[in-house]
Amino acid sequence: MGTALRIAGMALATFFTRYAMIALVGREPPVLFRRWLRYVPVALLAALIAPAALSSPAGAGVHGRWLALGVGALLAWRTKQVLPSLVSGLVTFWALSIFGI
Amino acid sequence: MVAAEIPQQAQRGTLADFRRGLIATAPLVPGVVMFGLLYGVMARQVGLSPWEALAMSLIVHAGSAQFTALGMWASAGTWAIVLTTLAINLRHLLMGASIAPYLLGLRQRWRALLALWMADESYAVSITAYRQGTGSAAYFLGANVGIYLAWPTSGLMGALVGMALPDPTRYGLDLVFPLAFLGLLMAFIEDRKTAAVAVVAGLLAIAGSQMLSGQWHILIAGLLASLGGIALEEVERAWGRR
Repeated sequence: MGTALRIAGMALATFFTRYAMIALVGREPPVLFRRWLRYVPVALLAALIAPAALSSPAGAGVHGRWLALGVGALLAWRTKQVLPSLVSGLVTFWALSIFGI
Repeated sequence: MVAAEIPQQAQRGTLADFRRGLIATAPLVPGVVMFGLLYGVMARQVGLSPWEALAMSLIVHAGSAQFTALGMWASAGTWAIVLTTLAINLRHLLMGASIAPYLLGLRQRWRALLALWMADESYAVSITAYRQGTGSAAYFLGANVGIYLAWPTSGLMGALVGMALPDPTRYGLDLVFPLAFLGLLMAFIEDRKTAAVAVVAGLLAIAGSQMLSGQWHILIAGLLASLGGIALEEVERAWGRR
């Protein structure tokens, strides 16, 4: 039940953002609002990642995990894309786990 | 937008236009499928069943918002998740505003349907066609359907794959989440101001996570830091004027 409610709420929120301006027929949003929107995704994503990154992974392969995240971060920074970051990170982890790091 | 670019009457288009829209999304489908697989695997990790993962993709149909929601799933309440979804999707207001003039004269229910299905990818393909004068409602619909076929099916496949793996951490699949988000985040860092906003948001979120329960620190840090971006622009402007 909780899951259904969450999904329904997310669906409504998404539909609202997609339809609002179309329903209002092409009215331009205020300039200040447009400027603010440029910073919303980057701020939210950084706020999501930073605390999670601090809670260090535990158990087997800890060092491999940190190295994998480091390599992934480097490629994410250089390429600005998801897949190179993901693939390089996972390959690093797998390669290191063969050596039991 | 220049007034002359705004059409008086929306182009409805034909079945051929629908097909062109559908085909235009084909180059983008592999990216959507990879993302969908990833989403499915992650949905399993936070404890969603494959059917719940599928239902979310079918009725929410917003990749980055779904990823973000999964990142908060275990520890956040319903309101925090819904409000964060709203914030992540605010960019759709701009997309809607830019494509709305082309939809004038369509029946309201068609406009609502096109909005409901407007994914980032289908918007990009359709607005390009409209600007080049080859767009139409049928083209837009075709592009929407193309993405809508790819996203939920790949998500379900990912969830089933995720279920087949007994211990995902052994394969490092718990790294999928932070790695994917690093890539997403870096794509939004365009200049020094966006980089500064990211750093401030991260620090605020770390501080907030120590003080607030649930996942409200994400929303609050995100709002404050993004407003800080505007403040940075103002400071830069004042500096330039001296």
